[in-house]
Amino acid sequence: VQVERPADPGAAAASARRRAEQALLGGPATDEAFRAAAAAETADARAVDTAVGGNAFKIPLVAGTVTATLRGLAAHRTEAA
Amino acid sequence: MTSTVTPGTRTDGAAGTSHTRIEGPAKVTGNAVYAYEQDAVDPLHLRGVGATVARGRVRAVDTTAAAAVPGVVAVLTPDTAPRVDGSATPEQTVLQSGEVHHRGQYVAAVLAETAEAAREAADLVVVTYDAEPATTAFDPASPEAYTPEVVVAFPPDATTGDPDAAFAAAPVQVDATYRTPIEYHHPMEPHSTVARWDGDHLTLFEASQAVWSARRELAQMFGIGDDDVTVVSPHVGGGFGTKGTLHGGSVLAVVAARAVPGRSVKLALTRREMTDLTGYRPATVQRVRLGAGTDGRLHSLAHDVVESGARMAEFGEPTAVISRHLYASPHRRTSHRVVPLDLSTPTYMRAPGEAPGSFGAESALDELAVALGIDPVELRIRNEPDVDPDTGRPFSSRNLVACLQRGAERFGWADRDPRPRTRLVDGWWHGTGVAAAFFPSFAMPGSAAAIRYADGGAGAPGRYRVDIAAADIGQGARTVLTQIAAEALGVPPAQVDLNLGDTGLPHATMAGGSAGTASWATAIVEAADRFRDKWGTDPEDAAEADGVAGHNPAMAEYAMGAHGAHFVEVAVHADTGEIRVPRMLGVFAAGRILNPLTARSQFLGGMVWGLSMALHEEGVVDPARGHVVNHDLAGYHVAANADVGDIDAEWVDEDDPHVNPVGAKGIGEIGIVGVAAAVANAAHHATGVRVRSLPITLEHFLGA
Repeated sequence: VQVERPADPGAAAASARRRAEQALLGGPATDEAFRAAAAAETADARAVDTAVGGNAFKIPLVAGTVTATLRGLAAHRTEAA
Repeated sequence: MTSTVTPGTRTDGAAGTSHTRIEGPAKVTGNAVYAYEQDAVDPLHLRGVGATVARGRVRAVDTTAAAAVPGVVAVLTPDTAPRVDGSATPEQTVLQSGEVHHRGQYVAAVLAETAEAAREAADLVVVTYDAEPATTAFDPASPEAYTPEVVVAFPPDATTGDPDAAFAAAPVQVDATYRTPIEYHHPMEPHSTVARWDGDHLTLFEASQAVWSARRELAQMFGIGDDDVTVVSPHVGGGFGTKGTLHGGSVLAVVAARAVPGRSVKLALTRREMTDLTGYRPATVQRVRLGAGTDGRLHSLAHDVVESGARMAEFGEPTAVISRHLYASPHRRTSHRVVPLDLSTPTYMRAPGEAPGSFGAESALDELAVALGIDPVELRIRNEPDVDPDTGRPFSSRNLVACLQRGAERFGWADRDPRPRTRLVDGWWHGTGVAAAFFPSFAMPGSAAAIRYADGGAGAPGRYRVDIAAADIGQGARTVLTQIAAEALGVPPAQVDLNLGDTGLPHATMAGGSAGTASWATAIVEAADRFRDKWGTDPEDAAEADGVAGHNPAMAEYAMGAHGAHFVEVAVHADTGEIRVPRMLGVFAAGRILNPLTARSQFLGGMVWGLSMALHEEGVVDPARGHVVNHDLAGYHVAANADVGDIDAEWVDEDDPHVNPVGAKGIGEIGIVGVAAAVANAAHHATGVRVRSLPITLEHFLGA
């Protein structure tokens, strides 16, 4: 995985928050890596539960959505190359 | 689509063939006049003010600021509103006391020259309350749960044999609990009323499923004669049960109109008012216990339901009644308990009972099929009863097995690998599911029809005017009744002019219970027979005859119902849990299909509703405040075009000489019954995950 981004003066500060990106850079584009990256990004996420339902499902949903999207992008990149 | 229709047997077969909607051109050109667009006399606009507490009493209403808005004619409060001095249900007793039964109940209202002024002023009415503790969260373990008097028209409990002992002794057991949420009708056309009092005569333009019963309700409310009330309702943009009886909005308009004699008062409810005030399907918790032999035959079937209700008035959803009719079992129990809540009153909603009950019953049967290793179509066929399990009566006709077999054939069921979670295609788990459908067929006696002939003159064909105060709520009644009248008279439909939706026409029973066509057709056929007996085939100008639908004695001899089978394919995204339904097929046995075109729309509309129930619909009550959080169509999701894939409905031949003179069973509701179970069963086949609560949303499949 490589990053392609225009120069941005705020990038250094922002990159500290981009945990998923940091986890992926330089590594293989695999499902396991994508899931691990999403897990790193949401490590501090805390679900809320209420009398009419909670949002705990959204944490694994982020992982699933990130994984599916990156997998699709990687396949697209491979096809394009 | 394959349509296997029994040809007309009475005369020339006008019924039984497709006929486009008679009012179709008027509707698509915007010329069909619905209740709110009817001619109003010097109209005033009405806006209600809803309670902001769930239980308590109005302490004071400050109308000063509201009354000062230009254009405001009157601000009505529980102290100043005209009286409802006759008999009315609690929800119809509008602005008669300060007592608050639920959030959103009207506690004041503004009459103004414009809708904008009414709305602005309504926002300025200041209401203070003495609030009392309210219970608005549905707890099925509530000690307040009680046995309702009836569940719609049925006894709440029924037991045959010893279901608990038979279950305990059964070699194969399923014991599971299923949940369905509060759901709303949300017809496209909001509840609309234009009311005017001229002296003691009330004229009401109303979106109604039954103008004669609306008239009766109003006459009783105000202690006046039936003849003092006129109700007109030529077009209705969907009813589904919520326009069957008068709710608070309609009564508010009539009460307000009483304050301004001679002027029309107009009210069209907002979606939020519809949520608060026009009924809903209550939430259910259904424990289903099935005990079977290893051959798949049921030894015991128990379907025990706890459902939400209202403290202000009883409504019992007949959730488990479907389990009294679908399958043979020597031991059986069905029961209903209601937990009263400080919410508005539930009411009939498309397939009351069967819609939520089939989710529990038909999901459980699928679980039994999995436990037994028997194909779910085959399991249903093995439990086909010889007579109605509830009454022991023979069926007037029953073709559930034919529906299952035809559906299986067309859907490609024979190739199905029963193992769950084995078909991953492009990142989606695929599976298929089946469920049976049932809805009772009956007719209400007492509808009347009048036929009058007008000579065509100069060799032109004469015309037959057929009058009956039936309701066309979008189901196609005007068209199908025209076809029925034409067939019974032996003339082409083009020679018949059918009038409905007006209390100036002969009495008709409600468009409800899927019994409208059967009830009204009985009267029309009777009138046509009497017309021909009296006048022969060459009547003179202004020749008349009428007929009244009697009680069908065969209803005491036979069990009558429509049946069906749903087959669906489900795809669940392996990463995100997103659930889609790419394919749906419904096969129905519903007597004679009178108009394949409108029948297909009824079936497909029901199936889409079932899909919506399966995937989206859920009313969410905030337990802290007692209000419905998702009280509009932005928050209350319903199926849209993109949710529906390949969908089709067909029907099998069914000749039933017993149900009514036209041999038709009602088809307005059966389309929805069983769909949610079929989707849940297919989702299990796709993923191995059994979802026992509706709606079936993606979180159930995450991490599976």
